[in-house]
Amino acid sequence: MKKGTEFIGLNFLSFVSKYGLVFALFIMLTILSVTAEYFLTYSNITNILLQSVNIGIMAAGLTVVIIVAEIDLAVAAIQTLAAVVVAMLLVNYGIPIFPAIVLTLFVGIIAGAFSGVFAGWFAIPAFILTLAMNSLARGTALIITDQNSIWGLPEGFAFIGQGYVGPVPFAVIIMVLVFVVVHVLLTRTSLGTYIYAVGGNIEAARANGINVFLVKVLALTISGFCSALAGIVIASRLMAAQPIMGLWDLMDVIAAVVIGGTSLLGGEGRIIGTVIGTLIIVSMRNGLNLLGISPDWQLIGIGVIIVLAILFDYFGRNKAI
Amino acid sequence: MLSLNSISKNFGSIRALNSVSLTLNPGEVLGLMGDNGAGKSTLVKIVAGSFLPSEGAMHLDGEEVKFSRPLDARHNKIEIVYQDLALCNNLTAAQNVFLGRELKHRLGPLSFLDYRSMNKKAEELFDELKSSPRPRDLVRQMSGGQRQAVAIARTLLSEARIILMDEPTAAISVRQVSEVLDLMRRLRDENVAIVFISHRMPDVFAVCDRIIVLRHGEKVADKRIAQSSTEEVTGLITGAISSV
Repeated sequence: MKKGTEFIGLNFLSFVSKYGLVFALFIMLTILSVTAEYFLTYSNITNILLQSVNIGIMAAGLTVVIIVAEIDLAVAAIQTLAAVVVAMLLVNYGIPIFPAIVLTLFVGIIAGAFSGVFAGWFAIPAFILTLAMNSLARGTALIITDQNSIWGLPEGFAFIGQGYVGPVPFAVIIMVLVFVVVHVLLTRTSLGTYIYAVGGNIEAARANGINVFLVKVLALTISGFCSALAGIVIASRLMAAQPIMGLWDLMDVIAAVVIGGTSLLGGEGRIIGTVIGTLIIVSMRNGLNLLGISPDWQLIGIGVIIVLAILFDYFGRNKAI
Repeated sequence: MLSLNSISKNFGSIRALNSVSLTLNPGEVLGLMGDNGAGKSTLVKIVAGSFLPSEGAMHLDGEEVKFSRPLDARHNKIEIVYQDLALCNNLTAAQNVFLGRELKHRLGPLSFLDYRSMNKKAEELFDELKSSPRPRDLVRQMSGGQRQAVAIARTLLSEARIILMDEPTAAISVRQVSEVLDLMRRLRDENVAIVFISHRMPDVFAVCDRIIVLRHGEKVADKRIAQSSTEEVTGLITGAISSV
C-alpha cells in the first residue's frame, strides 16, 4: 500500500483511465448542449444515434481485429462495396430483399477472409493486405456501377435503415445487437480468449496449441461481415448507393476504436469502450456541424481527441496498478 | 517409455543438436544440463512438439511418434513448462492455465466459457502447489514465483506422464524452489517422468535420479547422479572433461 499523495495520484490515474472515457463523453455532450442550440433535442439525439449506426457496426468488427494486433484498413471500402452490391442486386437484378442481403453479407465475409488468409499464408501484416483490399473493393464498386449512383430500391428495404420499433430506430437495434454479439464473443467464448491471447503474446498462444492463423482469419472475416452489414444499413437509410461514399469513414471508425481504449498494440480492448468511442466521435461531428464548424476543422478536432485518448491510455496503463 | 534415437536439429546452417539419443523411464527425474547454447531447450521443445527434428526419431511406449505441433505432444500426455513460461500477460491466471483447453457449458449449438469451474480448478491447483496467485488476477500483475506457479499448474491439468521443465527454479524465491522440488518428487512418486533443465547444480543433485549433459549439441554424459559429482558435471559442461 502506498501512502499519501502518491497513492492518490496513482488512484486518480487509474480511475481516470477507467471512467475517463465516460467523463470525456459527458463533458463533451454538456459543452455541446450548451453551445449548440438544437443539440439536445429528441430529433437530434435520434439523428446522432442513426449516424452512429454504420460507424458503430464497423467499429465493433474493427475492435476484434485490433485486439488481435492487426488492423483492417478496408472497412469503409467494403461498406461502400456492400452498399453498391445490395443496391444492384435489388434494382438491376430484381433479387428479393432477404437473399440480396445474405449475398451481400457473403461478399463482406469473403473480402475479410481473403485478406486474412492471404496475410496469414504469406506472413504479411494485415495492414498491407487490407490496404490492397481497400483499393480492390473501391475499384470494384466503381467498375460495377460504372461510377453511377444507384437508386430506386424497393420500398420494403427502407425499413432496415429508416424503420422504427416503437420509439427506437430499427437500425439502432441492429447496432446494439452487433455490439452485444461481439461482446459475448470476446468475453464468453474460447475464440474470444484466443483473440486476446494472440494479440497479447502470439508465441505463447502458439505454444499452447492455438491456431493463430485461424484466429486472425476469423477476426478479419468478422470485420468484413460488419463492414458489409454497415453498407447494407447505409444503403437502406439513403435508399441509394454511390460508389464514392464513405471516404472518410475509415478514420472515424479507427478513431472510435482507439478512443474507446483498445490498444493498437493488441491484447487489450472492450466493446463498451468502442461504444463510447463511437458516441464521442459521432456526437462531436454532429455538434460541430450544428455549430457551423467546417469539416476541415472537424478533422483537426478528431485528431486532437485521438491524441488525447492515446495519452490517457498510455498513462493510465503505465502508472495504474 | 520415451526414447529419442539420434535426434539432430538444424536451424539453417546451425546444427543445434547432433545425434542425441536418450531414454526416459516412468517415475524418473532426469536432469539435463549444459551451457547456454548447448541444445537443452531445443531438445526439450522437440519432445514437446514445438519443432520436428531434422533427423532421428522418437518412440513412445515402443511406437514411433512425430509431434508436428504442441497439441500432438499434449494428447500423448507430455506437458512442458517453457523457460519464458509462455504466459499471456493480458489474461488472468485461470485463463492462462486453461489456455487451449477451456472448460465450457453447452447451450444448444454454442459453447460458452465456464469461468466459475476454471477459476475453482485453478485455485485448487495453486493450493496444491502451495502458491498464492489468485485465479482472477491478470498475470501481468504477478511476481516471478506466481507466474511460475501458473505455468506449472498448466502441466497438472491433464494427467501428464512426462513433464518437461525448462529452468523452473530460475526466477523464484528459496522457499518456492523447495516447493517446486517437492512437487517434482511427488510427481515422480506417482510414476510421472520429469526432465529437469537447470543451471543450478544443487537443485539438480537434490532431486534428479539421472543426469545428461549436452555440449555444443552433443550428449557427453548420461549417468546416474549417484555415480557423478558436481565437479565432474561442471567439467563436462565446460569441456574440461570431454565425455564420460
